[in-house]
Amino acid sequence: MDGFEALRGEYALDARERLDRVEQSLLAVETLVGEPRDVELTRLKAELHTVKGNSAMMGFTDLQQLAHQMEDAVLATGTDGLDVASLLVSVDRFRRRVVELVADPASSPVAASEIAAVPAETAEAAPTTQTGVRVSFAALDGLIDLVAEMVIERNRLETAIAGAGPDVHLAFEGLERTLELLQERVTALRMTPLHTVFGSLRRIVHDEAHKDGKDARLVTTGGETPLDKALLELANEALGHLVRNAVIHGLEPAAARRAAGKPETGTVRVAAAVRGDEVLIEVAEDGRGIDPEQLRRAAAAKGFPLAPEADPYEVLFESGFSTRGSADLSAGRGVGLAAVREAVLRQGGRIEVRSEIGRGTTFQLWLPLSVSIARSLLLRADDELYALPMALVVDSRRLRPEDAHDVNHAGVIRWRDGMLPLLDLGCHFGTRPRRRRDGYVVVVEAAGKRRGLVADRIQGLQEVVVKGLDPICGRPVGVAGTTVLGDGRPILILDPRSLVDAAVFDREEM
Amino acid sequence: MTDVLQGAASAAPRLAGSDRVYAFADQVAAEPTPSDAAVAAAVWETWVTCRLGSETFAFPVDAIQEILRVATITRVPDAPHPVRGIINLRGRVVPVVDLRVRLGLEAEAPGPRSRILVASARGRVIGLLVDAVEQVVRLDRNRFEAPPADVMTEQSAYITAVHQRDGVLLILLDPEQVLIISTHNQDLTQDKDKAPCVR
Repeated sequence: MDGFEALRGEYALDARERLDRVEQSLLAVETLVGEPRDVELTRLKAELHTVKGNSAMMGFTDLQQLAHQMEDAVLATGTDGLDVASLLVSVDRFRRRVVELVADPASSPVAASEIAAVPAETAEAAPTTQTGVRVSFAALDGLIDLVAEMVIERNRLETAIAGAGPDVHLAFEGLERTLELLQERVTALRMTPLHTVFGSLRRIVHDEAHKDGKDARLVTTGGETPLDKALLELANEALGHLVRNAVIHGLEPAAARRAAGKPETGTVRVAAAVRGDEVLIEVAEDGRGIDPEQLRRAAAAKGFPLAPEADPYEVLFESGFSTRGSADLSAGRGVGLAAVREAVLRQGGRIEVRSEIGRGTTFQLWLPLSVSIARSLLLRADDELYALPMALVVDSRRLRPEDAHDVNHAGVIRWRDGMLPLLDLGCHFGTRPRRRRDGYVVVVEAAGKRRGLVADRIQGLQEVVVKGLDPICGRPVGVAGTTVLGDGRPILILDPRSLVDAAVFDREEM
Repeated sequence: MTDVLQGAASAAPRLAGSDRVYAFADQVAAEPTPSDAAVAAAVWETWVTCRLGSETFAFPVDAIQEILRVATITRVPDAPHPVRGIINLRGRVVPVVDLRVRLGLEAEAPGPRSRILVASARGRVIGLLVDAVEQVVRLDRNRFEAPPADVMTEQSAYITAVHQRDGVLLILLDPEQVLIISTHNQDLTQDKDKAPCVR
């Protein structure tokens, strides 16, 4: 990466954040009056001015021009009559052009008015970074990996200093404590506050309400709630969907609301909070609500007859439910909600709904506080594949018949000036009767013990989402959990901690 | 008996999974019931029937989420014997119990008509491997019979009742009881595929 390229990346990140704030200000100005409104306008002007300056510095003349026009539009209109809709279109144009320029800085400049506008969804696809020091997620993952490696080194050191004096042990304990703290803090950095996702919701509410000729406002609480960055994209998509639904299907038009004695402006409330080891995000509106009996009748008419004790709201998540009929209370909801629920389930979350006629509908999105992702080696042993988390892997090498020795009915190889006991995965998991003498050895280390795991092949390295194993399967020794590979195949995740303790002797002799 | 999958497929070819069960249940519900006198006293329930060897078993339709064809089942080492392995159900890892083994029948390799009934009980989702899924039927609860006491044992608590229908004896099962599998019983944890390691 050359200097200009890095600078360009910096510019794009900065511009994206500033444009987000411009967008927030524009949406806020619409609803504010008096002094708060003036404050927001000042903020808006300042952001636009900075964006203009930065664009000029980078030599992006068309963006400089566009920012200038937006600034003019804000200055000219002063305190009233701000054309928010057309300024939002300009924001989208700006975002689009920034993406283009970062990809290809030599792309020919376009007259500001000709920069294509794109739908908000495309422009906002990338989750934005919070303010403060910016660290890319890749850099963060690199740090996490380094800390994991340090933990391995610590274990090695512990063995090496076994005979050393008390001052060495004291220093080691200090190091150990610091390392634990470091590991904790670095892991916590992966947590991102949810308000980074809430920003785009405001825009969705604005746009959808506008299209439908409704009055709607978004109220968010709990934006500081942390969420694992691995779930950010899922939360972004799911919440976008639920909020869009809330405006389109939940809220009534102003006239109907007036008739029902409600305020004309409908409210969509998004509230997040930590509940145990889960994050609960509620999307609630004060709209018409869904009548469970009507839902039952609609379901029966469409070929989803419900048992009397079944929860009628569950049918909202049936794929194809809404496309099968014409009951307007749920039209258009089915397909999307089914997809959202599936994505949420896949990441270990769940989604629930309750509704009160005339008072509105609430969707509850439950997500795990953190997902466990383990960079793992894929090992093939006989016909089985296993994922071995990298964190405790020390070494790997070919196993050749001439290197494999038998000592007291156990297989060993020479490794780093010593003997390393081998554990054949096929023998351990019962897929072969005899130890292989040809294949690969992966050395794992845990609790100061080392063992060579023997497999046919190392098939690759990839990140896997750690899932549990149902207790009905028992507690097999050496298995930490399960995961699903890209091709849909479920495989077992190995547990080096129990494998270093597993018997290496041949079962027959035991 | 008609194959529930073929039957439903011809009626509504686009349906899949649980939809087919519901669609079929709907068809059955629309069928005229035998006689007025019987209707007055009848308490109708909907059950899914499946075959294991020469016997026909049934589960309450509410307990079955969907019916799957048998795809890759990944073996889980040292699992209790009735547990055949794990499958991927749309990203969720679901254990599969071989119902033959669970009910004390001889294990057999899955054939072309084999299916996995996805059952949910107490918030858990577990697949049940059966030889074939046959129909969705409406049964009159008042005509259920207790199984003869002589054939019942402590281990057969999963049998709710038996029911004679069109000359076929249906054995009605309780899915929750079926899914109680001892993980300690050494006889059950014997893995027949496993041979001891020798040099």
